[in-house]
Amino acid sequence: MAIYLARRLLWTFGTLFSICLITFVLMHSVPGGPFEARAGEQGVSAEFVSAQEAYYGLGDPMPEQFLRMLGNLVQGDLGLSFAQQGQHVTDLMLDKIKPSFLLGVMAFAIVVGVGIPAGTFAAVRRNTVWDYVTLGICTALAAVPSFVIAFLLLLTFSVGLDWFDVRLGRGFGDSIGSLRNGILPAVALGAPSLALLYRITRSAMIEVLEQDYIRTARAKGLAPRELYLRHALPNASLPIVTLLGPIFAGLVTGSIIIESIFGLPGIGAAFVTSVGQRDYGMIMGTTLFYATVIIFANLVVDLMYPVIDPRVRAA
Amino acid sequence: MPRDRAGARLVLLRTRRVQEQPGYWRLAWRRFRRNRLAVVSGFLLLAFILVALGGDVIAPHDPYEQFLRRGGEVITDPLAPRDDGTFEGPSVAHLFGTDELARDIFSRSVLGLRISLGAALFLIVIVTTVGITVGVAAAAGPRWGDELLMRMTDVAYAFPDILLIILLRSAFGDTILGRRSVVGIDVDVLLLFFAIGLTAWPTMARLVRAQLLSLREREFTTAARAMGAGPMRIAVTHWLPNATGPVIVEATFLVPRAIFAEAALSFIGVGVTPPTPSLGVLISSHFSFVSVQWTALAFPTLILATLFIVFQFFGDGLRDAMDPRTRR
Repeated sequence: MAIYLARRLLWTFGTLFSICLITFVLMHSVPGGPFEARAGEQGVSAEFVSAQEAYYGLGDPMPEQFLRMLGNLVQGDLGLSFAQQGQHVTDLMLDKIKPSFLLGVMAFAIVVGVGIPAGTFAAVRRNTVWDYVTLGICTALAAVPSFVIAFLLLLTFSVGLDWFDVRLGRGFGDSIGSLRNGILPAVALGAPSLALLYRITRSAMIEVLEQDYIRTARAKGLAPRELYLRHALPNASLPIVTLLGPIFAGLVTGSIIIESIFGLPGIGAAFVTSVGQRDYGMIMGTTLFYATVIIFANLVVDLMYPVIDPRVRAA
Repeated sequence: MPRDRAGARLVLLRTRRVQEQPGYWRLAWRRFRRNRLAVVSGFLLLAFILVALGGDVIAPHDPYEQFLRRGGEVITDPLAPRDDGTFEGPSVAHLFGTDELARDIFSRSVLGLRISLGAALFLIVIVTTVGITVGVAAAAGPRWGDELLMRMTDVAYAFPDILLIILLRSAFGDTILGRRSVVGIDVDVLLLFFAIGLTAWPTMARLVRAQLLSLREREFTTAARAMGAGPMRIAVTHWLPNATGPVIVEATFLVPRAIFAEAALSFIGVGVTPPTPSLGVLISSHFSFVSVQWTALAFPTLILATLFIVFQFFGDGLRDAMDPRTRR
């Protein structure tokens, strides 16, 4: 177990290094440098551009630049932002990560809190009106793009009912009260994952409920509540937990579109801007942050397997 | 005499039953046919494909032509009803109405359907080719090759999808060998789906590898090996056909995912560039005008939602039919 974990963690660095290299190559093959892009602006002279490029060593050979960046990265330093002069990328990123991460966690809570109970309920009441209604809602949630859902939510609850501020993004994450503003974005963000989790829970539960031991438990007069929650759900949990890793990673890293529609100043929106500005430090930092979230979400799921199903041994 | 005949018929029945032992594909087809939802989805899918193919005949107008009415007064209030030909509601002349530049939304949707489906087909070809190649090489090749390829898929899997697509989109130009369009689909659309494909192959490769490895200990593998077949031959001629079902199912589910990704990327401005009317461009460009003419947004969104549901049910039907172990 310890050896397995050590190998996995070691390989995490290998993966991150590869991602780092690919990102480096890709972002430097985007035509135009960070300062060339601003060459046309007022007050930006050709001398300024070349001076800046020399200062940041952008004219150096690529391998040299890569090694220098890698050396700084190992020390946890992403360098200075090219776009927001004088600011450290790490500080900028921490600012932007907070709302995105909070939003992802809220969406995850909604997805798990609604998806699993709804799927269980639908499986228990299979082929009844409840089953069809929840199935219909979840199919619709998955079939409409999340930005359209976001927009409909905004139209209904902010404009129509006036329950929320229209400009939800302002100050999100600064205080406990501001978390309320995250409800609509979190619902919109989580909708497709919610539908997916619902489907998987439902089919896993239906499969388990057809097993003989469930019939036995029912025959000996076990209360339905006990039966479903203690006998059925734990045995259906393997496919559900498998899905939770990618879902969590997807919610934390996949909020670019939702951020842009609700005006949330998150890391996704910052990434799109930084690609446009060729802000290399920001691009690298965001990619590595997202990759780390994805890797660790999957690692946690893999480590959960033996806990859920003793037949699965990690190593 | 009657007894003899009965006996003869029994023999006949028996031999016929042996002869008619239905194969995998026939059984799959039977199971699929019984699934009403999947069959209906199949017909709808066929209809979508026909509309996409026959777009030139079906679309009543040029998707780029503007039907502006000149001479009207200049309207300063953005919310006032207009009569310059833009944002008209559905009518006989314009089934889905007109957009902000007075173009026929129906014709644009038909072309959009062709672009999205065509590009999705291109994506499927890439993903299955890469996925099968990597999966087969990993399952049949030497141990170190397997290790290397799987570590590669780990990297591709951990690379944040949207970020990779945005980076690739910015790094690529919008021409291939100096051409701006290939078989009627703009190069920037193809490159976008190529980028989406680059994020989708690891799942396919892992699926193929897992399928093939599950066959490694089977008797027919041992038999083939005993007869002198090499690992590649076993993988390609004996294992791969057994993995066809899951690969087809995975490829079916890829289509709605890719079309959705295109819509989302176009929405944040890093996908298809207007005026090319992909479904994503249609939805996102009509988005800001929803208070002026909501039908302009509703129709393309409905097409996208229908496509998604059709592919979902069709894929579910295929999976149930081709892999009886994972029914439902």
